[in-house]
Amino acid sequence: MAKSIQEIDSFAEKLPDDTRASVHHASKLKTEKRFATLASDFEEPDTLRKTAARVKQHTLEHLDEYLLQAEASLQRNGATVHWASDSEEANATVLRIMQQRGAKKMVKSKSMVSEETELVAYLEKNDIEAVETDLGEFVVQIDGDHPSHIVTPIIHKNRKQVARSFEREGLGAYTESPEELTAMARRHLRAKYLAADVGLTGANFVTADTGRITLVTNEGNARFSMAATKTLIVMVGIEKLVPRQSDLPLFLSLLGRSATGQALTVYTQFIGGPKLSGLPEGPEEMHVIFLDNGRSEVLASDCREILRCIRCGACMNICPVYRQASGHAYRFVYPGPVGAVLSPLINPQGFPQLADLPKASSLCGACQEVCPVDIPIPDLLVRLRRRGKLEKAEKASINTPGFGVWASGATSPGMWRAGLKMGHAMNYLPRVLLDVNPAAHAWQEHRDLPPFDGGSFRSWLKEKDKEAGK
Amino acid sequence: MNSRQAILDKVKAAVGVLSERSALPSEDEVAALTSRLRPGADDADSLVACFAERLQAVGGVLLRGTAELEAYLAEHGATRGYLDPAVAELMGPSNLSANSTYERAEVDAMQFGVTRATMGIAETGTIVLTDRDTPNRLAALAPWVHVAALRESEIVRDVRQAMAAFDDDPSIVFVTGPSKTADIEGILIEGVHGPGKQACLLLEG
Repeated sequence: MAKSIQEIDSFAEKLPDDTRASVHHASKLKTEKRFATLASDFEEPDTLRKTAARVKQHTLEHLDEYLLQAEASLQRNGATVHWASDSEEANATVLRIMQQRGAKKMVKSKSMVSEETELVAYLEKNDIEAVETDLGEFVVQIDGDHPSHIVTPIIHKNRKQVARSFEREGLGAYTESPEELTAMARRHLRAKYLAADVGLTGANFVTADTGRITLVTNEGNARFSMAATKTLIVMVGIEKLVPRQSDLPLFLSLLGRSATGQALTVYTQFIGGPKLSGLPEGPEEMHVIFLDNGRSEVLASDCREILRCIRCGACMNICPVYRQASGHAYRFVYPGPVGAVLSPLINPQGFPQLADLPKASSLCGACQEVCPVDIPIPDLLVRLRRRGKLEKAEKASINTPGFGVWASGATSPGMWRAGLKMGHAMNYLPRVLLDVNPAAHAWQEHRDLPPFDGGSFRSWLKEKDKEAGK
Repeated sequence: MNSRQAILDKVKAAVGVLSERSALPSEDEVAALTSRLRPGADDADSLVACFAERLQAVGGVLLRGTAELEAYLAEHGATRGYLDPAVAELMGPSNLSANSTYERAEVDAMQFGVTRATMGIAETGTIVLTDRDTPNRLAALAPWVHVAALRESEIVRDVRQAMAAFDDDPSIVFVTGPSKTADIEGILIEGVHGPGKQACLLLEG
């Protein structure tokens, strides 16, 4: 017998109150900022989202051509292009580049794709020091934790927890001032940048026509890692392309506002190769690793729209399930509504392991409404629920009452009529008598049945027919 | 090379079966989606006024003339720093004492950096830095106080116009306010890895 409660529900139930409060507060704040800026800065914000969606959908549907164009443009700019089918190959490529240069130390900018490949753990196993430089990711790293949000990785932690971690790691004495905590990280990581051989970043966009990597950060960590080191490695998913540099003003307008309510993220970098020769600081060589890791299979599926995602986090900020459950409840790198679609499709353990995630939604549709590239997340969730049923994934059926009886009734008009008449009796039936099916029991634990009000449409129609003399 | 071909083949097969493929919206259609933050007109006065307003809105500071620059640095206790010789020439005579080179060994000691900006963007209060105009990437990033020198005529109307002016410079950076984070409890803190104080020295001409 399967467990009668979904993992995400049991995780949410055990979530400490202060964690839930942190997540709820911060995600609500970002949702409000997003609404304030997008609505006030543009006459028709929806037109922006829909146009961006069309640009990305077109790019995906011609991805083979744009990948070739991007490769040629990057090479023209002096970058070396690598291709990796999976995490292992991507990580091994990074290691090989480092070994060829005799490099032992890396400073790493925030990159979800490197979370996906578990790059840091891999490098550490191979005697490479790899330091996360985004403040939130740094805390996650020293705590041996995982990010719980794709934009604000420690949304689940408060200042006291950060202070205790910094004290433990010798960064400074316990303080509850976020300003002092940030200053400690600044001092600590400054030394790491200056000692590192290699900087690694992700990419927000790659422009096929000009071969520029576009990268946004508020902290300046990506900028620092490519000011202080001699080798730059960019790891990027194959879906991150846009056709033209002239598409970027649109995407940047949407990304900053959707993620944090900023018209532009503080540092927006357009990187077109190694540094200009003659400059004292900056990378002398640049490598770009295009990673597939299941994306080409998503492209072949009926959920390809999810590859439009520009990783702003707006869908998780607004999601009532995310706000209650927090990011770790989703059990993979990508939490929230985007994760409920993407994670089952690309996680290395396979679809059945996360087949319950598409059910972690009331299908309220808020995620699609805030999505800067208008991804039909509710539709995709329904498609994945169907896939879970068709593939008989055990996790997909946890806590789902059987619909067999309902289905046979609904397809036989006689039984349906009888059922509707009898249904009224349910209003007078003690609820305990309904409690026979264990799955239904679990379902009812958190929900109540509405009063039954069936059958009135049929009698109304009959009356109407009589009046019309039929 | 094997993975390259394998990925391209899989992608090609995935999109090859589609009966319909979406068209790319035209450049004009995308370009028509402008924000209300953009200055209403593109005469010099409108651009400067809008740039000044947006720069302040993102936490930046506008400095007019060398006296204001000197006062600003003094206000933040920044006594040791770097002044790019190209900016010194542009500014003309001043009482500012600063190094004309930026050495890695002195990163911790350098409290300010005054470097040359390439463009300003009125719409967003953004300062544009490039490798060509920034002789040392660290000098514009590592000091607590960064001042980017810009001429009025180098301010463009919006992000699109700035991007249209890109050349082949390998490092073009939009700087929109000081370095910041809200990672801890959503509280905004300025000065994480980059400057905690970001100013623009706007010069005539």
